[in-house]
Amino acid sequence: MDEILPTVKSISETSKELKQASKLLARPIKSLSRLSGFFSPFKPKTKSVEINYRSRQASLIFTIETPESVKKRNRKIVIPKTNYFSVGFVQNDYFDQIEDAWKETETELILPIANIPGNRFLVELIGEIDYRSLDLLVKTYCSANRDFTPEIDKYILQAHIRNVEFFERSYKSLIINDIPFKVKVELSKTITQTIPMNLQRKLSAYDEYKAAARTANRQKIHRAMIKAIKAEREGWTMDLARSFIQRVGNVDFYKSFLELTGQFDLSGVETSEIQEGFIIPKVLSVSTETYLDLNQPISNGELIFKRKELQNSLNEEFDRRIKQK
Amino acid sequence: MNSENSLNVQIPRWALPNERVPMSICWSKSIEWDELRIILPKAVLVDDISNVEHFEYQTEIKTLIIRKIFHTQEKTTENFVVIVVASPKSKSIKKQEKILIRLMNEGVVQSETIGFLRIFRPLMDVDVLPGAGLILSEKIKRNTIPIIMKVQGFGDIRVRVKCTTHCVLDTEAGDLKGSLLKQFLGYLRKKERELPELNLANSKSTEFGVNPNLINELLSELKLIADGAVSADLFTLNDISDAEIEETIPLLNLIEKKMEDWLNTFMYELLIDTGKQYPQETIEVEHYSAILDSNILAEAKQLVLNFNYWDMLDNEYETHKVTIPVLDKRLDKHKHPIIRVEFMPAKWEVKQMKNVEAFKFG
Repeated sequence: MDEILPTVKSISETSKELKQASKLLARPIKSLSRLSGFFSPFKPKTKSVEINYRSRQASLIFTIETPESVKKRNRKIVIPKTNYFSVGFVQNDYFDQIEDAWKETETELILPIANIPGNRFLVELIGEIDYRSLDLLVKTYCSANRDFTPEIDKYILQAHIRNVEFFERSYKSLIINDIPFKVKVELSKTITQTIPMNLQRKLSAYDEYKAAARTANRQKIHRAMIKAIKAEREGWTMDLARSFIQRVGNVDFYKSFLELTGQFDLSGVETSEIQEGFIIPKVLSVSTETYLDLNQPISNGELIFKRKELQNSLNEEFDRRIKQK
Repeated sequence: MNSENSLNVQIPRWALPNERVPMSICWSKSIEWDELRIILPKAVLVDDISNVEHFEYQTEIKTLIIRKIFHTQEKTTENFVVIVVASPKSKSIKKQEKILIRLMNEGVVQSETIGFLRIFRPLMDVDVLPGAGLILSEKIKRNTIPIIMKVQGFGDIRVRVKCTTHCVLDTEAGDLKGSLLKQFLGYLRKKERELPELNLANSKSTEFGVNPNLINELLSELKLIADGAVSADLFTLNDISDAEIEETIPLLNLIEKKMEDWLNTFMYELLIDTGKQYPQETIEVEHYSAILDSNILAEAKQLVLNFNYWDMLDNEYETHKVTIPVLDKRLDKHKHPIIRVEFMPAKWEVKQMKNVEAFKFG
């Protein structure tokens, strides 16, 4: 292997970046904070900042005190509209959300607080964080290569907050949700042996027939039909083949073979296209997510792909159908 | 392990070379400290750092010294993360780098621990059975060369195989280079009158893929001639007399600066003429079949297979070269042999490392 020195940033640059990070991150949240200034008669107090990593939305959540005396003098809160924020929920002391609390004109957002009964509310304002700031906020890691045992494939996942103090000092509490990780599980590397050769031929005969039927080529169709009839005679009917393909081509089939540990959850699975002549997809794109907060500034977890179980399950699917004939 | 006064380090149990890996360090807030030192082995570098307010890096002792970190009131522990990366030069498929971490207070070590960066890499070997060879003949449609590929170590790999055929070109005209030089010198003499005026702005050789090595060799020979070193012993120009050489020296000096252009134009015009002379022959790019004489024979000598492989991070590893001798028994050697290689390894020995997570270094 060549002497590859990684392109490592100079460490002092990193330090500067971290300091800048706070300033950069401060901007979208500071502008949200400034908006809370419109609530000043009601003594707004920041409760928490929630950032959704996936959507890059930052929610500033704060409490306001609305005794009748203050409401009388300040019947409504008016905020000029800008591109940089939108309004979220308004919740009363009983955790009930006030439906349609905000009124909108062309240039303003109005909360007619005097008309809403209650002495205390929780208000949400939503802003957007740019990609760069997000990068400086959270760092994620996923194993470059899986480890594997005879039973499973494993990937290590980690996410952490790069500067916890900044948020605690300024905003008391920080939650970062939906930090996405995408892992590509390559089925083609691990599963092909399962399907016996003659079975593959039979199933691909079906595929070929399907494909030929779409063309106007009589010769092609005829040839494919002969192959398919031969396959049928050898034990698998078109129906059985079809039902098998439907089952293993369906993404839900694979979900049960994925396990996540730690504070990680499965957020989605996508299969790659099933190519001609193949029966199962080549790649599973597994999306997982985790969250971070000041109590859990580092999140560790693993993605486990139960490979052997999948192989066994595929075998079962065959056997079941063979017995049916 | 997790006693009141201990440092805890967490790092993924396996990594590829050049993989950026997070090492998180954590300890109880009850410990008084003013310095945390991370002493790195030679092959390990720090790529990034999180939650650290103040640090310094002392290159001579390869130590990262942290004096202040960001902490949160919520937790009872201090922690931060360092991203480390190893670029080990060893060929070993498994290597463990030890990162020493020391928590100090007023110069006294309060707690100490080691972070183990475990690096694993893939290893591929290629071998061909002794006595394997390729026979080219009109009768043989297909040759099989048994190649053994062994994949060991850790990690998935991407393999690329490049095949080149090496042939020897044999021309009845004898020395191809010599005959070309003679032709060129004759060409110059013919064009003598036009020499200064002709403006050869662009080399025309790009249409016919003449082997650049040939051009370079011809050029260097020509420059020697131009320098007046007329002794025939110095050249491989068996057919050219000293007198002929002397005649062309002034011409060569005239075109000295544009010699390459002239040579290329000459080759171009020569190939065009040859094409006109032998309309049935195809003058192919890269394998010029006929220059002076349609009796150029191409005899294949070797098939060389070059194997490259990369891991999931695109680290490139050793190249393997397999040379397979070729016996060219074709009756008609006038054309360069076209060899199509289909790669179907008959024997794959795959013994990759399993469960590196649990692997114990000695």
